[in-house]
Amino acid sequence: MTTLKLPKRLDLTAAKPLARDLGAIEGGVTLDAGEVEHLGGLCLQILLASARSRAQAGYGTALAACSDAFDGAIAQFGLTRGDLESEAAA
Amino acid sequence: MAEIRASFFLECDELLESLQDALGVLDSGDYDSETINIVFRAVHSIKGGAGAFGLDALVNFAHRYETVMDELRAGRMELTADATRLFFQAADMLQDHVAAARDGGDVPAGSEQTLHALEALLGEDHFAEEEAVEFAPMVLDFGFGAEDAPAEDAGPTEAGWSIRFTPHRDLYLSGNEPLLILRSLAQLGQAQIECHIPDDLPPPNEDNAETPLLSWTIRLTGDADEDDVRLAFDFVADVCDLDITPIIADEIEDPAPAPLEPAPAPVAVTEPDTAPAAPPMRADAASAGAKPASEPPSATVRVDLEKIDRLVNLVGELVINQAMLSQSVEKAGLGSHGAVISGLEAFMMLTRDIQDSVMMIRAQPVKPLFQRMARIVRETSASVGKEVRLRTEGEATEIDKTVIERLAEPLTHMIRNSVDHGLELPEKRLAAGKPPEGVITLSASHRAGRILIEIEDDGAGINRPKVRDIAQQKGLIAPDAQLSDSDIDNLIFLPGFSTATEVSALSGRGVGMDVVKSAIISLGGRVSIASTPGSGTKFSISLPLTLAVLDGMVVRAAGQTLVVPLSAIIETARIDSQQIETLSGNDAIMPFRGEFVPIFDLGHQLGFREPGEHCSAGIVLLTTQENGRRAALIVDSIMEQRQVVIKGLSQSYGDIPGVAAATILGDGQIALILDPADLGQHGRAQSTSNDRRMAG
Repeated sequence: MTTLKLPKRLDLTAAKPLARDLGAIEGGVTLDAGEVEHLGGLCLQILLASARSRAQAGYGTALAACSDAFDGAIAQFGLTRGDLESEAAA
Repeated sequence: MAEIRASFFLECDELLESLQDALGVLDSGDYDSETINIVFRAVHSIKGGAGAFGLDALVNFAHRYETVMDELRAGRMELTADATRLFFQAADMLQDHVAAARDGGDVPAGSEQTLHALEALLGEDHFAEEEAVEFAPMVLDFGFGAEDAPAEDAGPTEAGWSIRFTPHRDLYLSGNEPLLILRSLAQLGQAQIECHIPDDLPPPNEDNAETPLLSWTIRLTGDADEDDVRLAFDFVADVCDLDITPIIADEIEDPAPAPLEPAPAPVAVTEPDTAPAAPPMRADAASAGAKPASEPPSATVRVDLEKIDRLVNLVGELVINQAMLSQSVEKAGLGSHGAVISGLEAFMMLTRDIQDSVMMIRAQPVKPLFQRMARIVRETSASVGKEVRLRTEGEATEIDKTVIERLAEPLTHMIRNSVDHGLELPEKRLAAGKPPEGVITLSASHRAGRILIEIEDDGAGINRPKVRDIAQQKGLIAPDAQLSDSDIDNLIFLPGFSTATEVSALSGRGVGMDVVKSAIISLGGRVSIASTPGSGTKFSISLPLTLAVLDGMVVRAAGQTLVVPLSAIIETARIDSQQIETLSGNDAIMPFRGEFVPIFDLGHQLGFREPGEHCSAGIVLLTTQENGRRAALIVDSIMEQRQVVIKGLSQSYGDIPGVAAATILGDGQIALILDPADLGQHGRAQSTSNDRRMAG
């Protein structure tokens, strides 16, 4: 499973590169959010969309590490880590 | 927290009442979509509040009930007679759930069966796609504009804000960030944030990376006012969709899992689908108002009953004090002093106004009590296999709160009795040329300064030969007793009497009509019965308006000062001893406006003097009873009319026949307050050999 290290700032400027990077990964993905300092709404949407489309294709999405800022932002958006993860089809 | 919880249950009572009302309208067939909305919102609001307190069983029941109601609301289900019956049954069960949640009881028995029956109305395939369709109508109903309006001026009842926030692309492009806005909102109070993720969120690519599709609903509770909330969106107001709605206190939503709402505006709602990963979404708070927009809510305060009772007592003392003052003025020889007298009169009027107002605080409409009876009728009729319709009249009639509370039990028993014994089975009714559905009419009205509650059925009437036989078998009457029809009817009030040859599970619970009667007597009331064979039976309960003060006529009899309630007196006249006719023993009658009425010497009746001592110069008071009977009481003189404060005697002395209570007069003297109807009955009981009723 490919691992993608997420940049420190997931803001407007990070949205397109993030979408491109995730779109380029086929199959399951492990996200390393250990160094994320800021998670914005657009990047959140991209992470959610990626997890969903992967799930629909039968692939999983996992979070390898999460910084406090990343966790805090997810909660502030009214979500949980589970919303960003999906299991690979057996 | 306990206070909020108590307040929630009070709200529940009101919601249940409006639920019953609306179901009644549904049942009548004369309803519109708003009626269905009222039912839905009542159940929904109960669910919401229950969720906030973690009352899971109640939430679950209300949710499933609401789901079915919602189908009706969306026009996907037909309202049949069966459905209405089940909605009523579910409303009753919901009431039990509320009671169980309040008192910490178990989940009411039969709850699951009711829900199954209810859900069966939707057909089997419904629940296969329940999640998919469940709350879709919510979107269609967002045009609830009219009802949102009153919420805007809800002012002090607002408990917070429901904020729907959909950022536009420009919000991000202008360097703003929803996260920061959500964070600042969370600092204003307790924020419950829900993220709406469209079901058709496209896979990420560079082209759609900057097209925002997420939106949020924030439930903010706390002290923040609308300006505070708007301030958080100050810089983004023109680059987002923003909807800020106040949450009314009784609509605190459930955090428990609730159905999903379809995606927000820009995303298609034509084919609602489930988003399994999305967090629970609740209905828009604006759709949950319990009252129709046409009724402006009246401002109310909840006051501890004890405080009101203290006020009632004080007013009672004020009345006594005012009487004493009048007496002192008289004694001091100021009776002719204009200013003093007019001042005193103004004082009296004020006292009376205060007293009336205080009594009104305690008075409550009988409607909730009648609604409870509607439930008793439904349950009882279902278990005995009879078709019964309850008609209610005078639901707005107000009675003292204590009286309402203490009336519930006797009334329940009487209603059960009417369904079980009064009405016939459908086939018998058909054979008698009646419609198969029996009708019980429960009415309340003001009559002669008292409250009259009547329970009338259109059943077979009292089977008098049977009643007589049973009374005889049980040794309640002598075999050769001469009894009028009315006397026979009244036998059912005797202790130990039960006509049911087989004790039924319903009315025959060892509680006889005697218990009903004594419960009503203890409220200062009376119960009478009128029955017509073949066409039905009517029970009439007469109750005092208040338990604190009454208008009385102060009279003298055999050297005693007594008070006769003014409401019971029709007229007074000087006695004409020539006209008194003695029947047998001490029974006497006298003609009065073309009618013969039994006449009693008050002094003798109360044991103050021997019979026959009454002087021919006395005065008669013609009194009336609820059943229309009249009786004349002989007194020596009438002293005055005045308001008297009722001081109960029954706690210290038990029930004294003919005496209702006592009072303290202006001069400090204690006088008995009489119950003329009871005096008359007591007189009759002493001589059952004659039916003194004359044609009239």
